[in-house]
Amino acid sequence: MDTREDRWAKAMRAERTGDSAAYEAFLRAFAASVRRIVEAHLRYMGFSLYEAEDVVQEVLIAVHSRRHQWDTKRSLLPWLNAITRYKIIDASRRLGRDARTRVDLTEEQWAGLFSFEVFDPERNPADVEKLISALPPGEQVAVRAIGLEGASTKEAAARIGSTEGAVRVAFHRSLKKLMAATQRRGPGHE
Amino acid sequence: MNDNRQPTDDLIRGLAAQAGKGASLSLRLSIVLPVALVFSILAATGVVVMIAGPRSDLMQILPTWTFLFKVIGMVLVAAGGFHLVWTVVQPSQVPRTVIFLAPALAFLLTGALFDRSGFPLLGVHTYSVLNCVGTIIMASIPALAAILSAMRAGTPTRLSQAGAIAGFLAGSVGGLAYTIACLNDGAAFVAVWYSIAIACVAALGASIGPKLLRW
Repeated sequence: MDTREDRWAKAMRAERTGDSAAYEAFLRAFAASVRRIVEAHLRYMGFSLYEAEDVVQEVLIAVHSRRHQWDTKRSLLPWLNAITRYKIIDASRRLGRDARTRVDLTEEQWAGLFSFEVFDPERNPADVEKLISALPPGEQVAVRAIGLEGASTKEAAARIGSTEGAVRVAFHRSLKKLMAATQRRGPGHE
Repeated sequence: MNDNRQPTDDLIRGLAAQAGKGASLSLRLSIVLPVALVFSILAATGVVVMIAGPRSDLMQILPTWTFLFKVIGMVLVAAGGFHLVWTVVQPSQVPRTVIFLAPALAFLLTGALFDRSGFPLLGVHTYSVLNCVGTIIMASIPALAAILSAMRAGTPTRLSQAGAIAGFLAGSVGGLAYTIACLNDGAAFVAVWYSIAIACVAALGASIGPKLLRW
């Protein structure tokens, strides 16, 4: 039987006798498998795939630095899975925190975001319009009213016929998406 | 995307070059965990002696059933706890809480249900409960610190659970140490209040585990 468990366990045992080639082949195959899981998870969590390779590397280093702890009498895959799962959860918590520090800004700071280069409507109105029109209709209204026209959440809510809280949520959510969208296109994009 | 993977490829080459090296440096759990357990028992006993002091008739009660009930109960709980600590720091193993705590639970429950000693559940003194729970928790603190640091030699992947299990073991070690000072010889008292003290330490472990066990 040449299952993945057998192949990888064999390579991990070969590593202990100093077989770099077998270990490297294992690390490559394992990295590819981890990459698929990480990318699927980041996509599912709504994070950009930009971070995927960092997480893959963290998993590889974690497995490498603890490789002697694997008990060769036990299955390897559950051991690898538990470490991968731990590192992915750890990374999404960190990404979530980062996202929150970006999202937890005051109303003034949020409004100020629109004066940044990427969001500067004067400088690049067509670009901003293109990004905004990709949003769901409810969020589009909120972004246009608050972000572009400078209305308060209360005014925007009255205009749309919605509650203030709902408008604030829609606004923040759409800004997160806009920032992710500009990040995807990379810095220096005009 | 492929540019992104270049550093990963480099990393893999670097890691592969270390094949077969560094094995002797890795701290072995089979040494670290027992050492932590022995230290825990000594430290907890030290705290109990300092705070409460051994009861004056300790020598006479040593062979009695009431004393043995406490000791055997706590040893069973600690044995289950030690096994759980052992499994929770190894990623491929699932701690089977129920199986390993069943003997201890059965023993304590049986003792409590057939308790004919007539000792009151709230203890023989006004402050019995407070003394008992408080001293066990205090005695467990150094034990908890030792067990958590030892667990860092392993690879816990569910940190709250690992912390709770560490607290559970520390609490039972604290309970074991407190048996030399405990004046309440009723089995029901032991089953209830010792368990509550252990649960408190387990909760403490669960709350600090994620911070201290992160890797």
